[in-house]
Amino acid sequence: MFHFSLDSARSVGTLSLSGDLTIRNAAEFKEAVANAMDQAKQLELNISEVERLDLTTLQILCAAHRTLLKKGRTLSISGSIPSIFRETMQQAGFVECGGDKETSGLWKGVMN
Amino acid sequence: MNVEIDTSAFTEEAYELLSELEDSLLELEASPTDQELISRVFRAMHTIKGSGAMFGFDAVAEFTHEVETVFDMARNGTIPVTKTLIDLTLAARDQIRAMLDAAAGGEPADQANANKIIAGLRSLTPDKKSAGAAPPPSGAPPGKGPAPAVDADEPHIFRVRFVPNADIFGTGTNPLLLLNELRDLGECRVVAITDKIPEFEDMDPETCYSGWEIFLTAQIAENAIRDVFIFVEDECELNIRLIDRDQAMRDQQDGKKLGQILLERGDINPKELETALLPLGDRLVQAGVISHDKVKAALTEQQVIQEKQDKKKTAETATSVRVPSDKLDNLVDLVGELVTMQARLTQTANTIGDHTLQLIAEEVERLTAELRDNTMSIRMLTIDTTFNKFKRLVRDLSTELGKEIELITAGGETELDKTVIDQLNDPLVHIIRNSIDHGVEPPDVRRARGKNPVGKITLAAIHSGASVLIRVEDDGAGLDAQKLRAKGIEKGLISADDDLTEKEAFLLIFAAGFSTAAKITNVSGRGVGMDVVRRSIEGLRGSIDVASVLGKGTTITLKLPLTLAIIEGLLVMVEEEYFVLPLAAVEECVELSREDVKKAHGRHVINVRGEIIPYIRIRDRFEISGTAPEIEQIVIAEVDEKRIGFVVDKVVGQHQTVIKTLGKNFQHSEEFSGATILGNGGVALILDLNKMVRYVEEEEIRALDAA
Repeated sequence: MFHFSLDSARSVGTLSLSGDLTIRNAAEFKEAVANAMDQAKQLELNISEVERLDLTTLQILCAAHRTLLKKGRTLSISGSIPSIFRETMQQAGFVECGGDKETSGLWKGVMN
Repeated sequence: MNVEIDTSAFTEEAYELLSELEDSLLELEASPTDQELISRVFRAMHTIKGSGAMFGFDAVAEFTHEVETVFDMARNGTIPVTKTLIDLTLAARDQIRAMLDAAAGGEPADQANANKIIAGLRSLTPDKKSAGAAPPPSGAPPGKGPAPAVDADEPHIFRVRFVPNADIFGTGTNPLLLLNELRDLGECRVVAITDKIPEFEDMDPETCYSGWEIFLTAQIAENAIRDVFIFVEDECELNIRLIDRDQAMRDQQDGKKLGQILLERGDINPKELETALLPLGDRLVQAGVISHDKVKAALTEQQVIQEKQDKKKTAETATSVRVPSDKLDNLVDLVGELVTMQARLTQTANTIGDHTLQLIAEEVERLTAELRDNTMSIRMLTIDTTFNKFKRLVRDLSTELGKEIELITAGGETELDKTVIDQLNDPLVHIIRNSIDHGVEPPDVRRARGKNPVGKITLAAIHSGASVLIRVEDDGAGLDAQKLRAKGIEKGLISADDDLTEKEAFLLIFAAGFSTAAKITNVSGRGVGMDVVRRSIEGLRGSIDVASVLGKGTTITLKLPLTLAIIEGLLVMVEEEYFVLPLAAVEECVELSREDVKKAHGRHVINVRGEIIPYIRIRDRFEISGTAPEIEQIVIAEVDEKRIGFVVDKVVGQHQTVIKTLGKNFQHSEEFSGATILGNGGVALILDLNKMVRYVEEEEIRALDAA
């Protein structure tokens, strides 16, 4: 469900997510993100295999993004974004989540 | 600058606004706490004032300003909406109209009356009241009702603030599903407020930190929104507010300023707003005063309202184009000529027998028919404007006569030709006046008769084939056939030994100089009105029917043709003469042989499938010389709910009939409703079947009496 890998330079870590990401495994998900944040300076998320998600998922990603930004680190999305992701974000109105304009990069491109 | 300003645009708009104002006021009288109606009245006056000043109608603007000021207080709930206020505002509306008429070259408006109205309105305002100068407004409940009533006639914008409790996930609720339900109600903009999401380390993955502001544009009532949240009521903070009406409309011109919205929403205080300069949103966020989400929500609010207003504007421009009615009349005339020419083309093409030409003629025929229908539909107007005028009439007259009468209208959406509608006004005024004055009894009499003290007059329009029925029904005293008869004999309208049916007796009320009213009021009783009604309705090729039950009420039904300009007709021939019968009345055609005539033993009747049908021979009626063919044709038509036959030599076929009026000096001209030009350039007379039957009947009765 969560797979973490680091590149050789140990600077960019990729957290690949797949399957269900809902409140049922929200705690595990947060744990996985926390681990990834500890290990990599720049964190990339691959969400192309995500099949289900809910509000908890969005909240966790949002919090992670904000915290990393504050610390001067980055969180970005790599790989394709499944349509279920767009739909859920649209439903939840999380269109410009993630602070002020310059740093709202996490969701850039998700809605367009 | 010396620019000639075209003021007709203003006056036209102002007249429209005035009639809207009148309607709103009358509605407001029925529901004095309806905030929406109060706003509508206010807006109408506001617009008249604004554009009046712009076009140089300073007197109008000034006067309207005074009225508007007082009504603004009603809108704010400072003074209640009372009958006095409505009476005065209605009077003010008439005054504005008089001023506009005066500006258009009519009689000068009565300034004393204007002053009186303003003085009256001012006496309603509270500062005068506290000084004890004026009596306090009486009766009616205060204008500031509970919540503004939300009617469902146009979409409203609601702002829904939904903040679920932190532990809402624990109850198994998925807030996103609730948001989806809202989307089903209408057009939805959802903005998440995420400023409560803590630092990553501090967050509990199973807690809800999010809240939402939803801007819902929908044609629903607030309760429909509450219903969505009914199961989570105790697990969230919910705040629903209608935002398009009470605030947005006041600032209609430019929508709301962002700062203003934030202030109104209580997201910031005025001091914080002052310290932040433009670009406002960003500065506020940077200053840490509010979160980005809140700015986003406020911006969305601004946008949603703006969009609604834009949409409204485009809808308004798209729905109507103002055209002077004489241009339309011209167009109809031209279409009439075209229809005639087309008939000629078709006939010529058939005579020549050229196939290509015939195809073209057919195509022209199709196009002409479409053009005709379209032109006719442009001239069709709904009758509700006419109906609405009577609300005022009934209100004023019944007050004057000390009666309580409720006017109910139905079928206002029925469409009629503009000419018919224009000419329908006067007859209806007379009929309704009559109902109010003679029909509906005073409240104490009604009570004594065990009726509802509030009388009821129903005004309804119904489609019926090629005609429209206008029905005026009252629940008043009804007509007394005996009395009518006696009066008719007294006036010499009928002779003492005339045997009248009840219906014939009722129709006496439409005779000239006939009135049963014991006393003449200034409303009716002079015996003029109903005679006018009969003549105007006949002028419109319509007919009148009266039904009445003594003590229960009277129903007067006007049957009017849909249009006056072009009808579908049935073209027939007698010898070399052409006649047109209105196709709408025609039911069937059968043959009449010499044999049939012989069997009837000289009586003008024929047996059609067991039914005995009387007929009129057009040849005899109009004394057309020559001999009838061996087999004649009977066109059977419905006249006054009876089947009557009209005997002709030959039925030519269906004919697009452009009606031309006949000059006054034609013999028998009463029996024709006009003439039309045929394709070959000849003329065909259009038969008025109703009148023809009536004349023939009268003549036969006279002949019988003489015998």
